Amino acid sequence: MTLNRELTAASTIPLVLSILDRRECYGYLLIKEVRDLSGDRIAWSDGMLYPVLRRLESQSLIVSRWSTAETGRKRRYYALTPDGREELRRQKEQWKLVGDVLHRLWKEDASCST
Amino acid sequence: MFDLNAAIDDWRGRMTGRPDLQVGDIDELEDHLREIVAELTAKGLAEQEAFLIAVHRLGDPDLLAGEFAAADPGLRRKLRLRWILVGGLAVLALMAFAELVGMMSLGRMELMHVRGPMLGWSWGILQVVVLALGVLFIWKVTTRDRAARSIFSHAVWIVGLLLMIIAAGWLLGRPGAAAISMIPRTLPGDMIPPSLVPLLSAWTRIFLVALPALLLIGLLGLLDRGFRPRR
Repeated sequence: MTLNRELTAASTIPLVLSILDRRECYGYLLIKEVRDLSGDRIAWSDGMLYPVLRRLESQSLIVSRWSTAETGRKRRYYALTPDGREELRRQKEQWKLVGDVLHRLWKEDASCST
Repeated sequence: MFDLNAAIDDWRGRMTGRPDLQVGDIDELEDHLREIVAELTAKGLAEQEAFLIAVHRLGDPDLLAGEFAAADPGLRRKLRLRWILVGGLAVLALMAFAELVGMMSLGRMELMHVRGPMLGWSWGILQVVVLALGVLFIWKVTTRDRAARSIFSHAVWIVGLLLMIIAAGWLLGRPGAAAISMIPRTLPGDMIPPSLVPLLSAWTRIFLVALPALLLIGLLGLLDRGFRPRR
């Protein structure tokens, strides 16, 4: 099973914010992390992550800085801002709500009351 | 024999020239491309094969540029505005500099005759400084490059400090003014033809209007350090 396109798109921002909440990260590593954590079932298209990062940055949810990587190349690292942390908190609540409701629906055997 | 660097240069050539993809974006994508190539060659793929897969994984340049444009819709407008404003201010700064040279070529008495006792060449220096700050300010608010932003803040602090020292000097028995008078006051007198002087002082009148405005936006920039769009 792989995640369908709609859910992949919808979960991109909470995933990016959650990873950056743990530590500063660069684009390639973000994608790799999501791929590893999901066991290859959430597959982002590599290039398309960057416009998302750009959008998050223009919304001041993340900041970027250039640094020299161990390979000697310039590399752009992203980190969460306080606004980003706040947004992540909101996203968590919303995803938790959806998760809880689905979980209860699937667990309980109740039918819709008329 | 496949040359990875040449292939990447070629790929960069295909990515550049799109207004929505800035050099920093392409640098970042190149780093990503090289990471994929390294990952795949470590798994035993030939470099050429790895490169082709990496390019494919990054996606079609046109689609990608479209996504970048959608991610920051104001960017193109902001860039255009930046060039207009920076260009305009740079012209003004050059004019102010030319005027400054002109003023320095006049003797002190002539200067007072042309524009009254208030406007010496130190006024000209102030114009050049403020206009240069204006250029930096516009650069700062329209760029994603953090270096430009910190250059601006440093420049503002340095200039602010200098102005305070000079003002304090005037207040405390004018040692500041004395320090300024150490700077060579006159340049060869024939550098600016006298016929140009009225034209130059017309520019001064424009600056008298532009200067408070620029100082104001500079102050606003200081007050609102972020100046970034918010949701």
